[in-house]
Amino acid sequence: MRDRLGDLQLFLSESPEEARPSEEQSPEEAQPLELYMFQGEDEMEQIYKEAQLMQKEMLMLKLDVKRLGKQNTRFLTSVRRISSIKRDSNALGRDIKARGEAIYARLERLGKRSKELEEEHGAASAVARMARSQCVYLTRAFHEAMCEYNRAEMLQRENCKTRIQRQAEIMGREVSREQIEEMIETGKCSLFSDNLLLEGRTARSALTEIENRHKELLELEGRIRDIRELFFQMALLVEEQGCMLDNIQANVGQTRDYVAKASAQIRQAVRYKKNNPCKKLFCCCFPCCR
Amino acid sequence: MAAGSDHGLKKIVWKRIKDTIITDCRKSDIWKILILDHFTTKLLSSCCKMSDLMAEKITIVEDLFKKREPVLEMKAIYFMTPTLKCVEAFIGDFEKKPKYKAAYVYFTDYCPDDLFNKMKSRCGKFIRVVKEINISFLPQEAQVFTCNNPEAFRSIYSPHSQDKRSTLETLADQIVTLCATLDEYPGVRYKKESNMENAKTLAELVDNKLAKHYELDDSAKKKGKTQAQLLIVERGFDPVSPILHELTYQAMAYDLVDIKDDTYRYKLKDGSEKQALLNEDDMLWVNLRHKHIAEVGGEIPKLVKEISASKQQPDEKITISKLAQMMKKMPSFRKQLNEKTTHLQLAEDCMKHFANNVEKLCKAEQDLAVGADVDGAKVKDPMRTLLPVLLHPYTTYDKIRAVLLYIFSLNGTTDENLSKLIQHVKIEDEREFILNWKELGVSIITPNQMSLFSRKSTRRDRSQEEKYNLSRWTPVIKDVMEDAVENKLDTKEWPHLSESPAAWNGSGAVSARQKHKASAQDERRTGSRLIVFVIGGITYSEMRCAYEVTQAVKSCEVIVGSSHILTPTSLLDNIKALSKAPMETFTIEERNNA
Repeated sequence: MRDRLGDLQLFLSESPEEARPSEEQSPEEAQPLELYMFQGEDEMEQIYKEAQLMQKEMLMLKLDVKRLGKQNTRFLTSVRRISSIKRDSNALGRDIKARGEAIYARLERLGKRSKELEEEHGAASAVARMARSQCVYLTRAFHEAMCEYNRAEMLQRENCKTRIQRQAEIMGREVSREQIEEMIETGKCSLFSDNLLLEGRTARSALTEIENRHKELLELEGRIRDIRELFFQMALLVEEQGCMLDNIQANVGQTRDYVAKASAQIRQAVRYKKNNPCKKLFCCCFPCCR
Repeated sequence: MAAGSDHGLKKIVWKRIKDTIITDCRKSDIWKILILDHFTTKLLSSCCKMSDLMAEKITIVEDLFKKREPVLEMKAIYFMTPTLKCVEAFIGDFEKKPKYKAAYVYFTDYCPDDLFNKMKSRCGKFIRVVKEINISFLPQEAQVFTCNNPEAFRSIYSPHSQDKRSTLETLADQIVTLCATLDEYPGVRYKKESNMENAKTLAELVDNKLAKHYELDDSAKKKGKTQAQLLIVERGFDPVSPILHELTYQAMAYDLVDIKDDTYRYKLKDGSEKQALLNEDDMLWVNLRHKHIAEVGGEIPKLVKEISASKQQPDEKITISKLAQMMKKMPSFRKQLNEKTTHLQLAEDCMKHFANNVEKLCKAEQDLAVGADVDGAKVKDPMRTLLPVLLHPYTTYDKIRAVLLYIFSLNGTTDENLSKLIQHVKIEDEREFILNWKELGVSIITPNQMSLFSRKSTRRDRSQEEKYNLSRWTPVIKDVMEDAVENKLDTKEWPHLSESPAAWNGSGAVSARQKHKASAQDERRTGSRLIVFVIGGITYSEMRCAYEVTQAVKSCEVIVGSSHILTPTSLLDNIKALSKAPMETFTIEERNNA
């Protein structure tokens, strides 16, 4: 790798006179320069601000998900104050849902704005493309965050099932995973319908353990159900967008040659018309004396 | 981001780009526009995605050669090849009316002084950064690179070519950037051939340019040679591999199915058209691509079961188990579902084509290529093996391939015999398919058919390896790779161009048999690299060999590359086109009807 900035600057410092002629030319060109100003400056400012805020929100969401993950493991390892741990988990779950829905609403708004910009300035204009790529990027990031959440909850689910299995073994009963699934499905602890007599403290504590796990699982499913709607919408959105939007070659291929706005050209045309030598002559020969 | 091995070429290239271009632009916090030319578009597309760029505060990506909307508030990053066309386009952005606030310019290779001065004099004051980051190759796969130059074949091998030297120079530049990106300063060796000099020329060019590069390089303090070796060889050294019908998934798919730009297009049962990109983002592809089609076929029932299991319709009542199943339908699973469907289709497609050509053709090809049949008995009369193929109504291309294999197995045939074969295949007007192979240094016509001189080098004994009957041929390049890794390459056949580092020199010779011991001898070669460059194109089977050898010899990573990737059909077409004289350009003069 070679940095050639030094060579460049050396040249520039050696030849200041050459820079001046080009500066003299620019005042003449100043007026048309105005016409080419970037149309969507303010809108982009807003969009970028919005994007930054959303990214912050998503960061918070991710932190919440991580906390939930930690909380879940705590539930498995510590035996004390299960109820309070459960409360926290549920609170976190509600938090995540609320935040997620807020972000989703903002995403929708951004999407609408991006479509409006497309209609205003044309799909190939810089503003529209910037807005659209921000949209795509944020949607994917949000989707990632939600997948993280899903993974955390799925992990918890598996852990609970394993615990139940182990506890059942302690009690002297082999339980297969399908039976556990059934238990969850029916909501009943069918495991114990057969055992009428439970003897010994170990058996009883194992029973309580299993009941707790079972309850936890049911609540987990409840949490997931709550958030399911959101998750689904997100997922569909991402799929609709497709993977081509993330592909660089596809993005570059979609760009179109820039056509200056009609207004600019009309102004130029008017100026040229005014400066039309024939007209000038005409005006000179036949002065309008009204 | 592309998943795959942790030390793949794509990851290395992306890291390099991040470390130079992105780090520079992080310094100012505003959003930037990235402007690319055709080559750098491909380059970036192959190693990262839009979301990666967006995460680095690049808001949109533009095409250098299209007219772009001026955005005066933003700075622009130009990533382009140092050619006249690109530099002119860049100057055009700033000379009269600047389109952007400032420019950060990055070239893929050294910029010639005249272009640099042009840039300086006409729009120097807008340039904040100008660097030459040496990356002018395409990372095709984790261990495969190309120079994105299919024209090189014609340029080097056509008897009418005017620009062979300049093409070789360009290829050498690109190889040097590969070495620079990998941070290697390899010892260069080439295959000595009696009738072709291209490998030697290219090797000399690469060696000189490598030396020059490491003198000019900013980051390296006087760099010594690293534990790497670069082997340069020509296509003619193994003419069999590119035309044989291969039965491993990737090679077979690209040979038999029409796949353009790595995109496979297919129709689902409901009629909808889908397309799938076959690259390293698809983990299933990465796992299946080098497997034999029979094994891939074995995976299919598993895939089918999984797909049908997940297709259950959720009913109205949302029970918890259904919920769990719906969770399974989430996009990560849906992505996998899509991948599985794609590969089901592709494997089916391959097998459909294969079923038409089945046993006889492949068997005959293998017998001719290997020189022995399934039981190990030498083929005494190749014509007997070839004849049934010629008599069966295979496609012309398949027959040409069989005839070529016959000729290669004999090291050239008589003119008379050749004419008879050409007549049989009915390509009297298209003899070039066969005759032009001589331009690659492969003998097609030898006056004396009973030549005792066998040009073929002895192959490794692979009788101990388990093989499918229709896949007995191993590309010659695998022998070369294994010999190189074991330090057994003959210095007469593969001369060194300059000093090679000690471990490769043979001075620290390690017995191949002791490879399995985790001994100190292996430590010397940890992380060493073998880079193989084939002039004239590389095939999928040879790419596969790189992975196989790396897998077997964990201490050395093998990277292969060429000017472009060949399929049998494209190679045959290219060979035929070698004898075409360059097209005359016609200029139409308009008569003014004044």
